Formats: sequence, C-alpha cells, structure tokens
Amino acid sequence: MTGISIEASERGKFTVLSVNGPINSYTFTELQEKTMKHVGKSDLAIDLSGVTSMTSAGIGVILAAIEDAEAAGKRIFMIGPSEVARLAIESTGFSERFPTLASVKDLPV
Amino acid sequence: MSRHRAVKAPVKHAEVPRKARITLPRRPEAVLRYEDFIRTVRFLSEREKNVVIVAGEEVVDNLLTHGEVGRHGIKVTVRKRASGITLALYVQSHRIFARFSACLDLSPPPGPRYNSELKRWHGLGLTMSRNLARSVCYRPGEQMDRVYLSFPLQPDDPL
Repeated sequence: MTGISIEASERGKFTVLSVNGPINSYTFTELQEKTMKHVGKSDLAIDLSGVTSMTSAGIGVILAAIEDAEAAGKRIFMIGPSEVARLAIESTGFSERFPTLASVKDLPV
Repeated sequence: MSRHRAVKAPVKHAEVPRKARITLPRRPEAVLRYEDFIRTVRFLSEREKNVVIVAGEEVVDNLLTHGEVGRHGIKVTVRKRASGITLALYVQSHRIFARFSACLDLSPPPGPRYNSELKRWHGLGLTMSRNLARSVCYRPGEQMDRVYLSFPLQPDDPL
C-alpha cells in the first residue's frame, strides 16, 4: 500500500514536517512517530499541503500533537492544508483548535 | 404530404441518475482505491469529490478497522441526481455492524471525546461524516449491511 512520506526540515525555531500522501488508519502511525519525536521539544509546523486524504485517525494525531505542544509551552501550526485536509479539519466542528498558516513563510520568528 | 407541420410536444426527459460503482478489496489498500475511484468520477465537481472522499473514506476506514468485511469486499455506489449525491456502501452482514447500528438508533451519538489513558479519540470519525453529509445512515440487513450518505450538490465556482 502506498504510504505517506514525511520530511523534516528546520526553519528558524520551527521543525517543519512536510506530509505527502494519505493519512488514515494504516498510515497515521508514521505521522504519530514523527510528531512525537519533535512535539514539546521544539516549535512545530506540520505542512499539510501535500495531503491527499485524511481520516479521523490523522485528525486525532494532530489534535494530540496540539495538546502536547501547548502543554509544553511550544508553538504549533498547520501549514497550507490541501482542500481535503481543510475539509477534514472543518468537519470536526472545532477547526479553531487547529492554528493554521497559509505558508511556512508566515511562521513567526 | 400535409402542409401543416406537426407541432411536436416538448419531450420530457426523465432524469437519468448518473451512477458509478466499484468493489473494494477487504485489504488496507481499499482506502486508497476508494479515493482513486472517486477522483475518476466525471459527474462530480471537484468540491463534491473532496467532500465525498473525506466522508466516505472515514466509513471505508471504519468498516475495515472496526468492522468485519466479508470476502466480497465493500461494494460502493455513487449516484448524482438533481436532488443531491448519494453514496452507498454495502458489506456482507455481520453482528458488529448490527450492534453499532443499534447503538446509533438507540441514542444520539455523543460528540468526539478524548481518552487520555489510551491517548485516542472516540466518535471523531462519525462526527466528521455527519458534519460533511446531509445524512448518514447505517442499516443492517439479512444478507448485506448498508451505509448511506447523502450530500447536497456543490458545483465548482465558474472560472
């Protein structure tokens, strides 16, 4: 099964995780591992522009990452979510819980 | 030959629903096959495809991970009429499906809740599907269990 690819890079104080592909029950563990590795240790940006589909499994990982980052006093942002990622986030009914920026260029210093 | 030209009554065309079907395997790649299938459905607008992908993939994902999909896989039909879009998913009957459906019928599902011990969200997928679709209906049957989702039409913005 085609999985997701997640590339990590640095931009200022932020670790940027660029996610490409589908996030579902079969691929979310990779996202979970990568976010758990960085969340709470540095500010985190999750680039969702390359996400082709997203189920509640992926939403759950992102919500947990947001909660962990906030508990650790670190910043976290979603970057330029694709149309399906945006729809998935909005469909939860609490999209205000997902701090979102249009581009990595908009990340605060 | 008559000099009078016959006046033809306007022909009323019965609405022909546009329909597409696929059978998904009972393997994890069904989720990707579903997405690929919806992307190829020509009669859906891009907006409609995205909504049907996000809501439907949640159901496919749930059937595979929490349910029991028989050897015939998941049969998927998407129809478009003037009244809206219907997505129907059929699987071989199973008691897990019947139990889940009965729970939904007995009490309205609670909103999403986080289990901090398991570090897992519950009820998030159903909430997502319900917020995207006009209706979501789980119906167990003697032979086949069915999930119906209906959506309003969402034409793309004209260029």
